[in-house]
Amino acid sequence: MKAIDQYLEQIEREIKNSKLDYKTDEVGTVQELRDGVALIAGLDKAGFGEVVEFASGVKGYIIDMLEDSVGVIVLGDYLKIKSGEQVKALNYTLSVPVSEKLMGRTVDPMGMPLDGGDPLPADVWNPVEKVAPSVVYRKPVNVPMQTGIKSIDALFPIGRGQRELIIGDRGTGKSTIALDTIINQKGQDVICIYCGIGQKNSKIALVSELLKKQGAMDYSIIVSASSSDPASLQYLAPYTACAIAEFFMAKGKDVLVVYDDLSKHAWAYRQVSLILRRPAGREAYPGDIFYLHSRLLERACRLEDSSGGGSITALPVIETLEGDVSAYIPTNVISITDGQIFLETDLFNAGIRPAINIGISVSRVGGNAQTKAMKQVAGRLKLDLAQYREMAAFSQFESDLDEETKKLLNRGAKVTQLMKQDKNKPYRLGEEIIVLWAANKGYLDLVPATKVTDFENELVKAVRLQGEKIVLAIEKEKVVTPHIEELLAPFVKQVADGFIEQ
Amino acid sequence: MRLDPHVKERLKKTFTEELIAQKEIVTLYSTYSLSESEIKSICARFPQYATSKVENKVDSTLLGGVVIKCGSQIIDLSIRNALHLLKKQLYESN
Repeated sequence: MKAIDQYLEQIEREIKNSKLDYKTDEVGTVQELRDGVALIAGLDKAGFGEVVEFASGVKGYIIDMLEDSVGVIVLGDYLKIKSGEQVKALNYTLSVPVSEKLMGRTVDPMGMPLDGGDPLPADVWNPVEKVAPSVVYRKPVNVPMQTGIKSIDALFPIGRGQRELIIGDRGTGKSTIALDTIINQKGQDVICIYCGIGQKNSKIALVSELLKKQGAMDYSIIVSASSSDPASLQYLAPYTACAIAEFFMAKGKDVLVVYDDLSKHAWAYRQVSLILRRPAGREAYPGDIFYLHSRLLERACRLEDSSGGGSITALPVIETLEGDVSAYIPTNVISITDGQIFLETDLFNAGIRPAINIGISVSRVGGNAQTKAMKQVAGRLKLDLAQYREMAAFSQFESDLDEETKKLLNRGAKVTQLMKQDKNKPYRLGEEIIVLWAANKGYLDLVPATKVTDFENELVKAVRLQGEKIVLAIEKEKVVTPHIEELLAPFVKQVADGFIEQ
Repeated sequence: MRLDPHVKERLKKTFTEELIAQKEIVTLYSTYSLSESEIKSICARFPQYATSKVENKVDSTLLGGVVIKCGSQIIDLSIRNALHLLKKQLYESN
């Protein structure tokens, strides 16, 4: 009994002396609930971008502030929320948990696993919205990001830290280019993030399957907000992907982020904006639609060595309708990025895959990043193709052409054939250079146009079997030296001889 | 009907004043109706509300304890909230 008495006494004493430990919360009540967006009265002292929690457990994110209410996008199932429900501000801006463990996983825009695996621990919480590094922390782009696709690496080289837009109609192989680039980063010490925005879940499953099969999932992360997810999550997905990329960049790593695709991202943001009754502009997009993409893509950069030296390369994807690049979103994103790879349905149907339109595709900064060896073989290529295009249209009316023109047309047709490449078969840098070198030196001129692909396949096969030394030499030297040329010439000639027209 | 701008101005002013006054009222939710002295002793623990006007409302769903509300700020000292936090902690820690 004595023990109980003592116990009670102690409790009494503690109650008397205890300082009240309390927390003041900022609250509001749900006034209106529209598709995925809630209008909340109260929350007088909450800030823009702050996370709020509904009494039913769903979280939200403040993106609109009016005189006496705030607009919140609901991150999750908004059908659970009732009008009049209490909402509490959580006093932090939206962040995602990031750690090394993310590698090889598929997550949603909140950083929660979608692949049925273990929950992900958080080393750090990275803010979803972050101001891009300023000029002093940046370094010019000068290291190449090999895509493994001949035509891109030769004609529109991409550098680490660049933003290169992939644009084209549906079904022209936009995602394929992005995925091939991811596959080609094997062993390059690049971390790849594929961000699916408004994609079909079946497609995300396919991407995950492909990356696993190609052994690319070990260094890849998939962030997905599928088409059945609320517009709010689709709106957040690319920012989350970028926040994850920033975590790895801060560790000095090179990161490649694919945003597939930003047209659907713009649609999601348009939906949210219209529900919030923001004034609609051209094509009913809100006024800040440009800023939506520019602030995202500006976060792609290459850091100065003193600030960590990592980089984020962005490959945004835009889907056009009927090849119309002058629509609102395509022109916006074209002007933000450092170049674009334009894919065309006609080329695709004509069997030229990747269906890159060489005339209007550009890369504005990648040239500085191109290896010297590639510059050696690609310089002539560009000229050949440009002249070919000019002549091809003109020569249709002429019956007899002079020798020089015939030669040009012949070379152009062969090079066009050579630019074809099967999907999911990226080339090593050395292999690309050998193939292009062969075209440059005129070994293709005698091979019939229909046999160019066969010749290329044979050449690559031979290189892989016997030419490992040459490939390594090119990749080491980064330049085609006369010595390498001496080794190459008999090698290529031997293969070419088998294809020459009798 | 068009309002005289002068009247409108005055109406707006009184309206804002009223709103601000409304926001300054402290509402004390409890499971039973509190006596004057009880309210006073509770308010004594919260110096920031010492001079404010206090209203008492009964809300039996609190189970126990009090909730103090002033404008958009809330101090939840109810048993309901304590249980809620406990539940959350238990679920999140596994």
